[in-house]
Amino acid sequence: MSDPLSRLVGELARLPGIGPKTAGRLAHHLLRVPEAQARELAAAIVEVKEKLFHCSRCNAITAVDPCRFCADEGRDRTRICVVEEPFNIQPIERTGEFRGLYHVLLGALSPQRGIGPDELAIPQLLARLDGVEEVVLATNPNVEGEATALYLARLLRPRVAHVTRLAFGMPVGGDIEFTDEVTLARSLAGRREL
Amino acid sequence: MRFRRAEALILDVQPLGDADRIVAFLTREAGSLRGVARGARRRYSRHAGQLQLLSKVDLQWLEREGRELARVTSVELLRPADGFLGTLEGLLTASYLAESVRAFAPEGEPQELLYRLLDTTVEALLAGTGPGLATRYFEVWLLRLAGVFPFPSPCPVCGAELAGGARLVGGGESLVCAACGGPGGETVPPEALRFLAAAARLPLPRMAAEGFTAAALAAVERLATAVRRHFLQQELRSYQVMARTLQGA
Ligand SMILES: [Zn+2]
Ligand SMILES: [Zn+2]
Repeated sequence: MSDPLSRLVGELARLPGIGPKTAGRLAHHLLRVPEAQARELAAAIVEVKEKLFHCSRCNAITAVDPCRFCADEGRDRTRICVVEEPFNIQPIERTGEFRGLYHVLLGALSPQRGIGPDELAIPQLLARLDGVEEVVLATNPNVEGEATALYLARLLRPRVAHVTRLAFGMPVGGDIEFTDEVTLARSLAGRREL
Repeated sequence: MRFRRAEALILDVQPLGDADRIVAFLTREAGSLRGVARGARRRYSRHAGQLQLLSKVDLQWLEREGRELARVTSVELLRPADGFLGTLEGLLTASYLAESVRAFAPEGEPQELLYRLLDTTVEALLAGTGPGLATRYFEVWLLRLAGVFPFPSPCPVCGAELAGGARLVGGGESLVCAACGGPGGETVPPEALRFLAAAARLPLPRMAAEGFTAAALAAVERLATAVRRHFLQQELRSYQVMARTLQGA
């Protein structure tokens, strides 16, 4: 049994983007915060694990099933925007350029990391195409996201009238997460047939 | 700490934290290396567009004693690779070439020949050589450079010419005639032998004129795959993903 501090550092270091050094800094920071604040953090972590899950239709993160996007009758049900991760939805919502439904793949094709089509939520997407006229492929403009978009375009073209891709206007290498709202809105508005 | 500068081919780019990327690259003098490009995840980073799979760059980096990762300090694009990254086959091929190089090049050892092989393969792909032909040529030479894939010569056991077909034995180390090969090893059909013989003497851009059939390329792929698996004791991830992806599409 390791000591409490090493245990915390170990747990933090398992988070994405956090190395041992940052984990150590965060752990020492948490040692200094008031106990109430530490309990809030712990409770918040437990609460998301207990109350939130993936929507059974689109895989968005939600506390109710179906999620608020899938349940909203006011949204345009003839369009589906495909993203890699649940956190890619919010930036697209903020642009106000898209009023259809979403589908989260829960990843992207990643040849060098061994992630192929079978690891993605593609069958669920194919099962949702009734009445859909446009699928917008909003995967990241990097190798993984481009490969995913090109692969999906092949599967979708025979089944959907319009398969479109965001017009990033930049070479392969970017991230939707780090694209500002104005650029993202322009990419959505200027989306092109793939 | 030591500043270094070289022409490099980008082999992989991965996010690191909120702002940075880890870049794997191949150079002649310093071989295969990995480094951190600070701020490269930001959209307007001067690194962002330059760090593209298989692009050729003028790279500067800082070697740090006892650290696994170098620090990339400057990247200037010399030859973009987007010319063939626009298709699914192109992207999958690029990933496979890059992972192959990483699997066969131990980090930090000079790789003059391997660099030249990857560089000319990318050049040929950009000039329009078919991905199938280019990839087979690359595979054959990659294994050859690793010392496990002989080019055809008279059978080393009995001296017979191999033109009528051969067997690859000893985990891919020798090519012997069918009579000497016995039941073990891989069968090498005549058209695959012809490909191997041509690859031994011709540069990649001149291979296209030899008119290899799809069946010949498939035979070479089967052989190279068997030898590579035996050599690495596992299959490359990108090869598996490429097979699964193209089969479904
Ligand atoms: Zn939903
Ligand atoms: Zn013989």
